[in-house]
Amino acid sequence: METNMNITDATQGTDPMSGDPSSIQATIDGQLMSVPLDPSNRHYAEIMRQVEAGTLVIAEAE
Amino acid sequence: MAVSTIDNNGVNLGQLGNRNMIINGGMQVDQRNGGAAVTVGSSNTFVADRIVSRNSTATGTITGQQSTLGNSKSAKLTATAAVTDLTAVAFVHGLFTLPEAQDVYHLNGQTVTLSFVVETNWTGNLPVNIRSHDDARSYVVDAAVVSGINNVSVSLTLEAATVDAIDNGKGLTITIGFNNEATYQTATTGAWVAGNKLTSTSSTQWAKTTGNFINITNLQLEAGDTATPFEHRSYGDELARCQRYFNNLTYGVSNSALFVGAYYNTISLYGNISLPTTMRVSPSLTYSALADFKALSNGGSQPPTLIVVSAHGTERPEIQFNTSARTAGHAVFTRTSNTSAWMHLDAEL
Repeated sequence: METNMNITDATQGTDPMSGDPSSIQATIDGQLMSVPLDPSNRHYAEIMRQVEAGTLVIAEAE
Repeated sequence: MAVSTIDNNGVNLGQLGNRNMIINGGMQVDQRNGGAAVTVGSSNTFVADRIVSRNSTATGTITGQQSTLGNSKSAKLTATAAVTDLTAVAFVHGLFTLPEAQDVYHLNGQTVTLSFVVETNWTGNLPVNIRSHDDARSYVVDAAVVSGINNVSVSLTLEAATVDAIDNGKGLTITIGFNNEATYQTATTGAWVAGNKLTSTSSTQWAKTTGNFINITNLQLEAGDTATPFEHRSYGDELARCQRYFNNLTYGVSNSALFVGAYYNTISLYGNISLPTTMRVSPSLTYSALADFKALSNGGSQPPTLIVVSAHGTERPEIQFNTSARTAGHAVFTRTSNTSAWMHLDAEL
């Protein structure tokens, strides 16, 4: 029974201070969200599941 | 009374605390909605803190709301428009909660009792369900309910690996009132079965009738084969437990303070938020709209063009706002700019 989150506009964020990837910005179920790169976070886990399923692409930050 | 005279006859065992493994079983805390009604969607929809529902069907309308039942707060689901399609994998999830693994691992192989109070406006069989950590093993029992207020208790023995680890993942799932007429049904009740089963072939599909509702409170999971009186905890105690999974940083208040920080360069400012309790994992940040917030520095105010968590953590996440050009090094105060603003941190299971 998948969680069925509707995820759009996923973008990889970078921390300006360190230059390291910091989070993923996305719209999830219509809400703007900043998601940590933590597999235990349910939003990140679902983003990765959809990426692996080929239904979501994470864009590079501009 | 001398200490030496205290024995089992002198101690009311029902008063012993921390028996209940369910967080917010009294449905007191509703940080997300503040008691307002929500339409249950196809992904997890919180009716109260830690109390969730879903409606995967494209039919009907299920409305969830923190309510009251007797002297308690409650969580209520109403079929405000009847669901008509419960075939295949279409379902109305009823109400469910996800205890954290390390809080229930010790119950593996033990007899436990799940109890609650439920009000319905229909008579029939209410499915009560516990599933293993991976949803691969299921236990369903039908509770016979009548229109009105019902006290339900179910005792069962968890399997040896119902909960798979002593960690911060999902331990098991408790579901009440699931509706489905195919994939998630089982003909077996009162025993563990293989598969992801949440309702029985004898369960009442209550959401198929407009106006039908289930209204639940005093949800308790405890060790042993006997349902003891509901363990009422203070609002503050319950709120602190809920904040491990969700923090409402601000909700519907203009000029509510968020954090104090400084401009690292001409557009990016940073500040930390100290959380009231350690969260389960690094939380996701979500907010109403950029225009609902402002950054105040050097006698001026700027709306953010970006809000993100720049450094994650379970205790002091660092928040980044980008704004139009300001002066690097200036101190800054961040606030909400209107009553529509809300900002949440979510570490739910």
